[in-house]
Amino acid sequence: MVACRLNPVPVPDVSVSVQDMRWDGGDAAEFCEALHPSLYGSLLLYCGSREVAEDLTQETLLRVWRHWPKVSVMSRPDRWAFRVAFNLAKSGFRRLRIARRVAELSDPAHTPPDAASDPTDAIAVRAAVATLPPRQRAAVVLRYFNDLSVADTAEILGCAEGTVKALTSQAVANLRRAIGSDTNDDLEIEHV
Amino acid sequence: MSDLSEILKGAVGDVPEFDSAALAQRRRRQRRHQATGAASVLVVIATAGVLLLNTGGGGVVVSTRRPAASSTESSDASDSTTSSADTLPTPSGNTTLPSTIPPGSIPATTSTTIPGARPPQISDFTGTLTTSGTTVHVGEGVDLELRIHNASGDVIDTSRDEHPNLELYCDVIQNPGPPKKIGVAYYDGWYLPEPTMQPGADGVITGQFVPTTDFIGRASCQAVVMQLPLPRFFPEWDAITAIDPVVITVLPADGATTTIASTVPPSSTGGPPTT
Repeated sequence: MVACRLNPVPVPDVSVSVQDMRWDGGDAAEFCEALHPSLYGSLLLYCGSREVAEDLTQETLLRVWRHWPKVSVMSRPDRWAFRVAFNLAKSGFRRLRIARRVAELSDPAHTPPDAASDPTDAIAVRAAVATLPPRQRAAVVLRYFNDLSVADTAEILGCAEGTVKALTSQAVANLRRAIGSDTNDDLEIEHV
Repeated sequence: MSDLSEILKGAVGDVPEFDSAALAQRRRRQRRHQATGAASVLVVIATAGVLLLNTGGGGVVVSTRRPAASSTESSDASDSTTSSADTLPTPSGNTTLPSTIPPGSIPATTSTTIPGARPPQISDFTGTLTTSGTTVHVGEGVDLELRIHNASGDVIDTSRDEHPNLELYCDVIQNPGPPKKIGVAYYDGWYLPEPTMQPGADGVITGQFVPTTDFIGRASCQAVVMQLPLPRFFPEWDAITAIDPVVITVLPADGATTTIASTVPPSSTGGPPTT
């Protein structure tokens, strides 16, 4: 059995940097701004909390910023950022939870964002995604929210493409059951 | 109606606008959390210290991080300007498979428990931890390599969706006495790329520790078993005492001025594990 793990994200060796591998989208601020919506959405689906998603998004972007000289020469810096994000979501979630609780204790004015304004069906879908095992959740978010290929998803998650396919298939099956019969017929899944 | 992709995108709803100033605020928040967390842990440390003194184990030196307000950021996100974002290259699948999944055709690969494997214990491992340097400035990196050997007779699942997990872990030296608890809101940790270790197997964890100003002073990197965090407020870790930790002196970034916290003897970082 092949385990799919969210592994540490090594900073690449920049000694092999090539000018044409640089992200041509501009500076770190532009990259972060461009990546922000997809990162936030992915983490919201993965974690189920807007507050945590925003926490993790900012932490990821901070790391992008910190490593920008190295990140900017990657051929696909967005993949690196997603690996950072999901690694944080898995191994760092407890830290963020601690940070949040400390903030609540230390700042009486701290109030979590109001999620009540979300449509009910959106909350239901996010709740359904939240019921998935972490690896299924990550796979389905990368594949269907971010429209990433199996190969890209496998690279981000650090596992084989076959594992991604299996995880995604199981996630879709679980979502079908979790979301309910009203949506069953609407889940038209494109497989890769 | 919608396919899964559209359903998921619809479920996200409003996305807050990117605000580079928020990143700077986050840095300030992290420092506040850290200071608060350190204060909380000091209570724990003080309690542990009293217990140690009562049992003849005195002499523990407790290091406290300098106040957050004294830190100096060499750069800040708010200094950067934002402009209209270019579109990131978005990969997409280019091969279409049948739109239905044959029942029963999906291999069962998602179990989080590996048959025959058990969670790691601190007595399971031997090995060495090496570093490319013992002094680093904020923003620079130190390469770490943990070579670990499964000295137990069991198959170990070192990195699970549940705890405990084997980690290469870096933290500020501030909580030298047992019990080991995470005293800061943020730390660096790395896992084994291949989590399953057969009896007698060797593994390598590599990581690059890039300290922020939060780590100024002395940081300790070591092999630990991270314990179940909930329902406890602070997660706990136990050092793998068969593997010596490394102590890294973290200096302010070149050109930055700050006060370095008091130091702790390296020997205080590898205390006896809790059980």
